[in-house]
Amino acid sequence: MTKKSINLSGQRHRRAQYGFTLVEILIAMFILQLVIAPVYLMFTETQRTMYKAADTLTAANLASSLIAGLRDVPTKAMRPQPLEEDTLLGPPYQLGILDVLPAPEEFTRKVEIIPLDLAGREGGPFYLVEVQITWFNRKTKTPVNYTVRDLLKGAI
Amino acid sequence: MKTRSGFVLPGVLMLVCILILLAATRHYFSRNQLIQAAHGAHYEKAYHLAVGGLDSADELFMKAVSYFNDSRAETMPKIAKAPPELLPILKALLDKDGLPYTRKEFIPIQPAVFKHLQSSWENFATLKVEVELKDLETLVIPSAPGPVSDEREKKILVMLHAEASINGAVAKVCRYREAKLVNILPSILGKFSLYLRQQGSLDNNSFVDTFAGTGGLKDTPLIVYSGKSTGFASLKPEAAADFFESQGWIFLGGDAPWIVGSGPGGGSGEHASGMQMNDQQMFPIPAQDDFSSLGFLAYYSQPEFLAVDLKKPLYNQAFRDVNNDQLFSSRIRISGSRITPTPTNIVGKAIYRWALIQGFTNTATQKFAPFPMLKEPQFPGGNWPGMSQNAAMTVEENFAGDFKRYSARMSYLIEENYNSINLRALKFPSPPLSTAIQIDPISISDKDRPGTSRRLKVDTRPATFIDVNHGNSYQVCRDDGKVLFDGNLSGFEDLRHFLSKAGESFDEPVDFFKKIKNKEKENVISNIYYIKGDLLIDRPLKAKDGCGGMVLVGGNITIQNEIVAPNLETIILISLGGNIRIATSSKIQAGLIALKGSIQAGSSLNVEGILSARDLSMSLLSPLGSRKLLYNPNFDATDTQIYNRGFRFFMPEEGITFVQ
Repeated sequence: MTKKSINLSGQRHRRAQYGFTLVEILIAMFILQLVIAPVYLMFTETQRTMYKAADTLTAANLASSLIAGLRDVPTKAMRPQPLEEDTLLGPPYQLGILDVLPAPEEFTRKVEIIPLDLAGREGGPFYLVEVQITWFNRKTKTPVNYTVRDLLKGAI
Repeated sequence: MKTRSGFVLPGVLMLVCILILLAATRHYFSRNQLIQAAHGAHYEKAYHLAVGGLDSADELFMKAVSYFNDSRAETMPKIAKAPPELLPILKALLDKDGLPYTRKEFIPIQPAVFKHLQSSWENFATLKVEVELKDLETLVIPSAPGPVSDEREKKILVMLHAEASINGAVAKVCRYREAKLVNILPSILGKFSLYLRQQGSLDNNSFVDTFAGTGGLKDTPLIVYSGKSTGFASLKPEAAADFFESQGWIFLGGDAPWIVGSGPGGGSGEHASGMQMNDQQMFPIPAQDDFSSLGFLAYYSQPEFLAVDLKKPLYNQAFRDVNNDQLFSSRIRISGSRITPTPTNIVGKAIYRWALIQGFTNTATQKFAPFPMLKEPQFPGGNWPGMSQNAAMTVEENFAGDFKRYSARMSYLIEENYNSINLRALKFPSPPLSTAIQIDPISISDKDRPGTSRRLKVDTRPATFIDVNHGNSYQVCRDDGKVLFDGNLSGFEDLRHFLSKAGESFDEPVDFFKKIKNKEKENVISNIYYIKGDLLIDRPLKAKDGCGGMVLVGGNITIQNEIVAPNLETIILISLGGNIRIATSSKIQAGLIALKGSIQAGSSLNVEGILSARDLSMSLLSPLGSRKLLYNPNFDATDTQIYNRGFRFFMPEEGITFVQ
């Protein structure tokens, strides 16, 4: 008796263990629905932040690499340069001559070079270099600008 | 049992927790990444701002240093004449003596280009550039007797600090160099236009001179112009001390006296000895002499250069019995030439030798009969050179057979302390000439004597400019009293302490020439260089921008090309252990120093500077050639103003840059 009753009750219990009640499922779905949306939003926001960070770093690197290339231009070859996109630069500032890779499509790199003397007047022997990197925020499509300035003397 | 079937809820909750945790973590790290990226981007801007600031400050600093190193008169005094853009930094760098000095505080630099770096850009950008000057070590001369150290000569660490900050991202960049603040004047040697420690193997009086024109010469003497010329008798006694003090002096070392024979230089005023007064003097015949009754006769005295011609009929064989060697003149004309006499101060045992022609003159006919130089045994008997026996006997009778009376009137060779010839440059109210024309320094009244030297003491006594300046111990001072040298000038030969001043060192001359070649392909001396072996100067050397410098060479120096110092800047070539050979007639505007060896003039010599050596040797040279040494007063280390102008701040062009 005892054994049977155990078996019977065991069968009954086993049936109850493997099933979910509708209420349970409804509650679980409700909780999930409450949480999934913000978590998803959080993930997409994070994605945006990561893109932004990556873009900022790329912009900084793009500016630095161009300035590093410009540092190697001989003093004799240095000359003023109105604000211009890097791909349109002529010698001696052509990217190929400077051994600098072009900017990725998403980025626009512009450079301006102004000769200055120590008193701040135009002339030389210094060249005030301003590199502007522009790109669009990947989600908001708003333009972002990053500018670096340096003084160059030209290589000996 | 029922409760076990609700396992889905905890599971979902757990999943939710995991999702939230994942999302939060990802969000946290991405935010952090963004912050880092933004900071990195700002740092990149700050770094470029700092490097730009550092470069411009460095340029300004280097310009200030170049300006400091420019010793041209138009840049003196430094602060007053400074260009506007350099004025603030020079004011900060230089002390009251006009020299850079080390200190604990940093010196701020604000070039105008900084404004362009910062203007209309980042709101929170700041840039600060400062210079730090830090003592490293003093360049000390060994404490043996001799040259005295100047504690201002030292090694200095120059550090430029640039700090830029943009939106909290701070970049610090530093550039350092080891600089040397040194004086490029060659110590007291710069005071001496000619400095010879000993006479050398060649006889000083080996120049076979003649009155008969330069065509008769076999050689050309070295003419030393030690500064300003006075002409004759143009110096006032009260101005004399200052005059002699500022001339380039001459040191003739060694124990044996230097007998400097005067010479006519082949009849050329350019080659003849300076300071030889040729004014003829007439003296009435005193009553005790027989010919006193003849009113048309008088005694005369005529100073004359030394030449073998004095033995010949042109001079009535007045010096026939004198040894030729005594009539040869010196290879070196110490007081300039006859046309341009430059009186100077001789330090050492120097004697001036010249001839005095004396005899009868007929004042009516202007004819002269010189009396020959005789020894006492020759006097009686009438066997005199250049005269008939009768004439000789007549002259003997005139002096009543008294050789002593004759010898006062006969022609003879005079040897006097060399410096006493300086009296001939003085304008005495009435020249106190003795009967023998010589000016005896003892006979000069105190008021007519030039003052003593404030820059030279010989055996603790102030030197005079008209007496012998020779002793065992010499003290050379600047005009402000600072002692530059204390010891025996003859023993001063070791210049190795100059090596501590060297800014650049080379194993091979080729590296030296490579280093000094500038963009215009000129070989410009603008530092103190040390070359370990020999140096052959086969291309022009040049000083530029008032800087000058020094070349120290371990071995021999051979000069085959010109050395040009456009504003008489000081260029010094020193052979520390060898000789200097001059194998060019081109102009050498430099000081040549070989205290352990010789200066060998193989050809013409045209030096504007100084010559210092153990001894001087000269090859025979055609009389058409010339040997000239002009003193460059910019070498005068005893003049405080000039001495201070000799300071240079030498440092490498390229500094070492690092990011802090």
